[in-house]
Amino acid sequence: MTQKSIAKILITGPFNAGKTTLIRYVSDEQTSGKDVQATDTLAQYKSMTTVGLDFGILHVDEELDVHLFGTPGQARFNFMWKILSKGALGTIFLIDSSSQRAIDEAKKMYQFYRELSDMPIIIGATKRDLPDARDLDALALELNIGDTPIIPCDTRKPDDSKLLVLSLLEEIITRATAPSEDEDEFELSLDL
Amino acid sequence: MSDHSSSSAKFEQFGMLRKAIVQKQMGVLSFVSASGKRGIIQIVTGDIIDSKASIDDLSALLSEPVESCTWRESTMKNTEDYQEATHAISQAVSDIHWNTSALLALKLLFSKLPPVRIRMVPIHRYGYKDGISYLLLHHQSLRTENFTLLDFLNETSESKELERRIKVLVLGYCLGLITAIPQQQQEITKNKNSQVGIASRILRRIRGM
Repeated sequence: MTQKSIAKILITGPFNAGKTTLIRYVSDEQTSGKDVQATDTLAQYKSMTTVGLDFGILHVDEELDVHLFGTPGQARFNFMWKILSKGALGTIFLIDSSSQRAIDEAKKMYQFYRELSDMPIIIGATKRDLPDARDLDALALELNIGDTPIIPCDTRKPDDSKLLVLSLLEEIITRATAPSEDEDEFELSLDL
Repeated sequence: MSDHSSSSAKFEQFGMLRKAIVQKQMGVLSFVSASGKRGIIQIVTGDIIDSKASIDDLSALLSEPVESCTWRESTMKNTEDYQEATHAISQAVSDIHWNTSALLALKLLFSKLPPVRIRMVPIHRYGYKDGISYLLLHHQSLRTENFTLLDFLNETSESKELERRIKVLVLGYCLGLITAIPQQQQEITKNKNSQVGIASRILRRIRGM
């Protein structure tokens, strides 16, 4: 019996962004970190939150599993972000786009991940249905993310969760295989 | 310095414009449209001269087949204002309206392209308002293995919606956001343990969920 290869994808972002929900929809097996009552000032935003980490396994084929790690969103767990990101294919960064507190936190987190490695990152902007949700442009500007893709999503919808992971995978492939500017030849010169 | 020209009604201008932008060339694209309108687009390191006449010419260039289209490389002093190609083409495409026969011709044109990849970019940042159509295109490309533009265009028969979809294809094609799947990827994918091979396997698995 051959040993399965393991690929790792990181799901990160500040507290209360939808990380646990996303992992649920793209995993065959899920072990959630312990949900406990939020403490400190966070309790006013969310009654229960994840302590430790979320973990999901997606069985790809007989030779490959994907491990999805959801990092705890609270800043006091930032020592784990570095450990978890080691060897990851890429990162999905979720942000509650309706919360200024989350956006402020995301700025620091995003900077942290960017300094950590140049792994592909995509950003999912959640809670777009809430009245305070930021315009995507304003959000991108505030986060100072440059060309990093930012995708509106509702992780409660399985399709949106899958699309985020698909977007990250496409980003990984594109980065690794994109032709240089000089090589771009894609002719569209058909006679009518 | 090189010249490249064509002389029968076709949409060859799209490819020429794309090449000049993606490869950040410098020169002048001169054209005569099928209806006889003449125009020039000056391009400096992939960007487009910033003037109303230039945007009007760009709209004319993209709105119908051309009788002739010539690209002439040249060096120009960068003494004028240039607009990023992303914004200039977004503005030009926004103003275009194609009639039914032009739409069908463009549909045929794009339908003949091989499977493509769509780059995820926030085109509303270029000033293009219909970001939803581009997002739809991107999402559909992610969901479908060997995605072709025919898949995207066949989803609608309603002419206004078809026009919206063709606009994002013209925009995406000219800016190099729609690309052929590189041959090298086919090879790399075969190596199951390469990063691309692994990502491709996961991609297929999630598409099938």
